[in-house]
Amino acid sequence: MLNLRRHENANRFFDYNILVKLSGGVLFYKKNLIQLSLATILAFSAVANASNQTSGSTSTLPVCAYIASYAPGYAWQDGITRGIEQSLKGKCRLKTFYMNSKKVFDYQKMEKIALYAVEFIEQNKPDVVIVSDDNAIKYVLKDHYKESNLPVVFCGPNHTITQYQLPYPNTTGMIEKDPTERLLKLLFNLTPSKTHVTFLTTRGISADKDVAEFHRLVKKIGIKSSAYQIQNQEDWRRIYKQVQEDPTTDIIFFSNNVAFKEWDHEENMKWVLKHNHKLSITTQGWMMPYVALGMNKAPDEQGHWAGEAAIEILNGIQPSQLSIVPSQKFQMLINPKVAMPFKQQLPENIFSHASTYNARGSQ
Amino acid sequence: MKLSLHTIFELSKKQIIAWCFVGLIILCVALALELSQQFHQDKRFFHDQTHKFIHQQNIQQKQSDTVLSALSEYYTAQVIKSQTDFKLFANGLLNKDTKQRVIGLALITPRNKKQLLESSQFEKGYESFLISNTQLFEEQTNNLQHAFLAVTSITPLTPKNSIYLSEDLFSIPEVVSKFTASIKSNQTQSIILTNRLSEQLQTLSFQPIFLNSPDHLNHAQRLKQVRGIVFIIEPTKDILLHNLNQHFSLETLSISFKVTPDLSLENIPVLTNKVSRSFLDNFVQPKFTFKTPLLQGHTTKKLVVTQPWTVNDLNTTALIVTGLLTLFGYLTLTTIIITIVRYTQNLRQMQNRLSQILETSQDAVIITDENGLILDWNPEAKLLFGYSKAEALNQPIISLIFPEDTLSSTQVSHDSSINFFADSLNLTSFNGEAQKTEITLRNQKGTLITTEVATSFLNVRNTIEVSLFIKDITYQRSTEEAMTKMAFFDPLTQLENRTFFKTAVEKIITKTPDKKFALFFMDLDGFKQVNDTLGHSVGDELLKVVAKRIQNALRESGEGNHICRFGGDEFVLMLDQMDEVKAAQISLRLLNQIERMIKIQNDELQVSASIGIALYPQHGENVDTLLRHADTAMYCSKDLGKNTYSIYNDAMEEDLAERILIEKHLRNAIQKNELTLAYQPQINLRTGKVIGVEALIRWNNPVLGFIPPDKFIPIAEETQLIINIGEWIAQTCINQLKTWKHTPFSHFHIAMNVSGVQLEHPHFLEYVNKLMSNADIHKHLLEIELTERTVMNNADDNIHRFNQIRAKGFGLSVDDFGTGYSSLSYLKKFPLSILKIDKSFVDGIPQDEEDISIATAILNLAHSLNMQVVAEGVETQDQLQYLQQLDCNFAQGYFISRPLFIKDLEVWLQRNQANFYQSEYKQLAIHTDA
Repeated sequence: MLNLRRHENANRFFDYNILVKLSGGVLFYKKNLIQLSLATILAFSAVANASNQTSGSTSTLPVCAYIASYAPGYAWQDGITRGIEQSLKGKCRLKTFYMNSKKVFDYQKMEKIALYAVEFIEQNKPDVVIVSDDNAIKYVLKDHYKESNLPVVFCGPNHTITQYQLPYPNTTGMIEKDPTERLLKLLFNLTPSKTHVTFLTTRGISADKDVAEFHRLVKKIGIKSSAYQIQNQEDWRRIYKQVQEDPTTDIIFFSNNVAFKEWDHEENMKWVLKHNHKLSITTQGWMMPYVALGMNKAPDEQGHWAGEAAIEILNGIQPSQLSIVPSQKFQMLINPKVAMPFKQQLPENIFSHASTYNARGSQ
Repeated sequence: MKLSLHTIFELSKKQIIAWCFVGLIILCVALALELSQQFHQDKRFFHDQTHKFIHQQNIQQKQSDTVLSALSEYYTAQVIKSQTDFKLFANGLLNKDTKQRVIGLALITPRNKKQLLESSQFEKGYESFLISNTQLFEEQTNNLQHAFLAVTSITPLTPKNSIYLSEDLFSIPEVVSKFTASIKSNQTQSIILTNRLSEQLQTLSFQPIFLNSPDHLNHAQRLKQVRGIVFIIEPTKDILLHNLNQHFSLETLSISFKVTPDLSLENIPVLTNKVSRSFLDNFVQPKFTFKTPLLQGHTTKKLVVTQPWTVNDLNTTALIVTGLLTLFGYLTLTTIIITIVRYTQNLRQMQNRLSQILETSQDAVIITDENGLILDWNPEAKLLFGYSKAEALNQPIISLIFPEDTLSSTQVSHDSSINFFADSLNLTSFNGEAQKTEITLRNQKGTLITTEVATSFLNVRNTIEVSLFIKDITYQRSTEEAMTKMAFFDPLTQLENRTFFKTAVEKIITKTPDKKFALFFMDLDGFKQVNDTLGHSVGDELLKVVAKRIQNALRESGEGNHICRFGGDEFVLMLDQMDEVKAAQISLRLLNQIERMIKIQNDELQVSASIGIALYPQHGENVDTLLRHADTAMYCSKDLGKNTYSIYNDAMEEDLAERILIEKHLRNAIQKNELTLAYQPQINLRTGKVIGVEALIRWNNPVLGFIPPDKFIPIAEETQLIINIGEWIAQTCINQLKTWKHTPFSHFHIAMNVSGVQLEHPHFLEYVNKLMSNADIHKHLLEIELTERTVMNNADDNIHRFNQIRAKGFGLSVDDFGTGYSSLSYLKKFPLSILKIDKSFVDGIPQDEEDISIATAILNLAHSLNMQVVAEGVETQDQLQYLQQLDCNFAQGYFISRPLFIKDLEVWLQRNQANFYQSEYKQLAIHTDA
């Protein structure tokens, strides 16, 4: 009982220090963007931590620390968080740290954020740690908890974890595997003669991995393909129009647009509808307004898996005994506005099996 | 009123204890049966549930077989093998009831293709996929096979289930052997594995998968085309518990897995029941158990389920109901039995009682049917009628009424016989109640018997029977006649008694008021003396003789007379057609008859009678008046000297009134000092000296004047006033003696007359003795003088009284000696001191020879008995002198002195100097002396 109270006091002290640092950041390092970012991260962390504390009424439960790569409000992140919270509810006191690293590309900044995350973990003395998405895996798990005694469950790494030398003996988790292969096989089964796929994506680590994975996949399947890594919105429109009008392209495969600094949805939507000549597909949910068909990953699945794995670890199973698995659940969506011109080409089952995309719901 | 078994059933304490004990045993047996029934009911339920459970297990196993077959077929049907599709298909086979079920796919991977499979899996995202033996199951050993059986797909894929991925199942020897068998049979194989992580048993069921349908493949082809297995892993315990929970309450069960000893495994407890046990449960420990193989067809591992049967499982309501019903049933049954037993006992008792009543009845009891045929016949009937029971049964009852010859001769028909029977016993008017009929019957000898027959109808089993209680009242009737006679006739004399007589006379007066008749009231004179002296038997004989003589005397006086013994020695006669003359004649005839000498036994007696006559209607118009007047006349005859008759006249009534008046005044005579004593001197005839006086009572009433003693003393005796008068006399005499004490007359004695009534009074002698003692006077100075009649009355008793008188020192003299009947034998026994010769014998002296003889005889008798003699009524000098010559001791009489009141006596004594010869007769005395 005494130890638990000490933990709670430590949490309050930690919260106070965070607030001091936050205010200090505002007063003395006003011009320093790094400091501002860190203050923002800490502010998110404080809010999340406070909410976790109020929800964690059962102080006898073990402590689970969750290090999220992104910030609340990002749909993918929210999905993972939701899955974790649902699976751990009543079984673990969840302590969450949001790294808010979506727009952070500087290595040093990431390391510094990772240090806060590590400090957060050390402060909370968790029984198990969950890290989500590549930044947290790379900068927190790989850099600080590789082969440590603290069990760590990861989720959300794109395509593979080989670049982090995972799995470590103290880790397990779920890999975010695009359903690209499944989607392509489905389409090629429908129209075996139209198999040339043009891949549109952005630039960045994830985009590079997406392109590499795309090439591995088309190579495995044995089909023709093209790939474009686009810098900005204007390029995207131009390339889009180009591939729509390219007679060799049968299918346009959209990756995400997250890396673009600007994105005019209305204009781009008009542009898509104006140049909508080829069947467009995506495995990214936020690209669904602009494509006809989508097979999307479910971020909640990642969170659920991570939470349940954490529970198994808390139950005594070594992390290494739990297999590392890819995403298992995908949802096929159809966007009637874009897909309507291709209705005749697509079998009825596509429309009956797939869920109809709702732009409002997506947003 | 306090009700109890004792009072209700009349049971003894021992019976009540036995009753309670038996009830307790029955209750215990009932409860034991109920317990047994509940136990077996629960046992049946347990076994029913067991069968259901086993059935469910079998169904589940078949379901698993079906699922595995489906999966196997699906795999075979896939031209392009897609794990994703396989997963989707497997996932479709799972439901909420099989959520613990894990479906998997394991592929045979030759050792040289191990990396290929691992790389393939890696590319799919299973980046930790390395075929290995992680010792997930305790049964895993080294894989010595040429290939691995690697788990490549798990559905549902959860972190928990992901542990199976990449596991090499060929590292389990039993899987290898079963796998071989399954290829051959294409049947589901199951084994039990022990999961090291969960430390729980798991059931692994699998079927092989082939490239083509195994149904079309031979064994060799199957071996070539087999690619792996589809399997299901289930937590053995959880599934069992889940299934058991559907049929049992798990909290009541103890579950274990029993492994056969040859495998050197032991019991594995799975679940221990949480049933709270009482002491009794621990003592008895009843339980239900079933064993079933954990897997169908496998005998080495068994599931052992035990359910204890405890007190808590008892249906106490049913037990209580059973107990209550048993008690109620027992109470009801015992009540019925006791009631029946009691009723039977009562019936038997009643039957015994009736039999004994019939056997011992003083009445002849005959039961007949409604036609009068005898059905039963008791011993008294045999005694009464002389027929044995065998003779009497089925004979008509009327044979007892009519002689047999009469019956046979009159040719009595059947109906007539019944009518005779009914008429004879008044059965025709029978109203249902028992009735009595007096009837004369005949016994076997033909003797008539007067009987009283109590008849009643009996309804026996809807048949009318007639019970006849026949009482022989022959003797009763004769006795009644005798009693009737006794009621109206004197049993001694056979004459009419008073009641009959008065009734008869009243009837005559009522019927013929003009008739003239006379009523004679006759009283025997001296009958009491006869009774007293000769005894009552003689007296009774005397009365019978007198009665006969009366009857004889009246035999010729015609009919219509009534002779009645009225009581004691009193007879009353009513003689028809009588006037005074005829009555006088009849009276004389009667007196003559009666006074004749009567010889009874050895005594010769002579009695007389006094008769009083009243005539109807002149002396009274009713019988009581006539009787009273005849009685008055009879008393008149007594007064006249007895042995005579008197015809009533009104003066006689006046005499009676006088007697009543005398009695009235006599009651107050003492208080009013109306009584005085006169003293008549008694002298010694030889010396002339006065020796004493005889006290004689005198009564002078202011109203009635002087009443002589012979008039009031009898009345005083009749009314018992003589007791008080006698005491007064004694007191006065003793006072006089006391007065004379220390005077020249101190040697005088006083002779005090005492009546028989006084003598018999128990306190009289003590009273006198006490007065004398108080006065301190020598007791010989008081002489008690009794009449001869008094002395001879109750002579036997008087001997004792006289001895007492004499023992106290008093003198005892007998007055009027010679006038009554004196038994010389008694006279000898009496301690008398003085005899007094009655005046009647002195009167004739010296002329009458008889008187001289009597006086001489008395003197000789007295002197021979050492008694002295006083001659009474000496009225002449000749008498005095003659008595002197006869050597009479003492004398008194008018010649000496008439009775004098005390003052005159004292003057007389002074004048004569207490010596008669000193008075005017001095010369005579001297002469005599000379």
